[in-house]
Amino acid sequence: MCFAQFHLKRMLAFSTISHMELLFVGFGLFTPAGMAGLLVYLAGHSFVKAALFLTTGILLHRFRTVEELELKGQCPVSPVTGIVFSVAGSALAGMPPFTTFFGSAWLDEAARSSGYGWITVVTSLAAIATAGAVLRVAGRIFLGLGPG
Amino acid sequence: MTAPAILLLVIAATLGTFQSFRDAVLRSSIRMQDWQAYTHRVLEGTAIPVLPAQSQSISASATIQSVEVTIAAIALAWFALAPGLGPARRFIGRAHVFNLLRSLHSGVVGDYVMWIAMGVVALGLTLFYIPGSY
Repeated sequence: MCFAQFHLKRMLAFSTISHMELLFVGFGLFTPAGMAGLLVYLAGHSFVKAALFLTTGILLHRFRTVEELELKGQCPVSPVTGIVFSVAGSALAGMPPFTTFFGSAWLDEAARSSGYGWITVVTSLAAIATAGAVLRVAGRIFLGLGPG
Repeated sequence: MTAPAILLLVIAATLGTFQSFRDAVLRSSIRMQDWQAYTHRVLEGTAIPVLPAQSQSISASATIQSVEVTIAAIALAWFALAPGLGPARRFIGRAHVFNLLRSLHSGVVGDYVMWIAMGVVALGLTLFYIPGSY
């Protein structure tokens, strides 16, 4: 659902929903490591998502729209915003040294040690889809790439 | 105008690197799940000491996995944008999967709650149907 969105706020909302499932997994494991991973991930995710919503707000303020296709190539004059958006997208993927990396590593380790190794696959796919969507937006808006 | 967003990203990038932060979170998690401490507090009226806990360092394989996930996300974004991959995108587009997914969402807050509930149910069903995981 996240990757299918072209409306930035909806895309970020679905990204949050996807990551909430990760937090539910951590809570469901109910081990100290799983719970700690959940809390660390939540802290990191909240800062990253706040930065993303703030950047989207900047786009809305400047261009009066948050539709990805309408914003294509509109922002070459604001490279810093583009860099912030791209780095935040990478942080959503759990790139080191972001706090999300430590949280997801703990969660995956807790899942594996509890016998739910397949959860790592689910969380990785969720991270790829959500971060891929944010990076796609960054490429289209700030670099003017892609159709639309 | 981007300064607050940069500050938030800097916090997100540095917070997890502090060992003291990770240790404090782990201690809180252990304390939260310590049922004996709850029992002791209610029945005896006294608190039992919390065991010292130190968070484990992140393994190299976890770091490699995170880098792989990041590269896969960049590759996915590239697939959606690369000029030479138009035919492949059109082939996927014929399935109308993305249009179908977009049509399932009205933008109302309740829809987000519904998708969270669906995700939890999907995870729960997966838990039941994967042999040996429950």
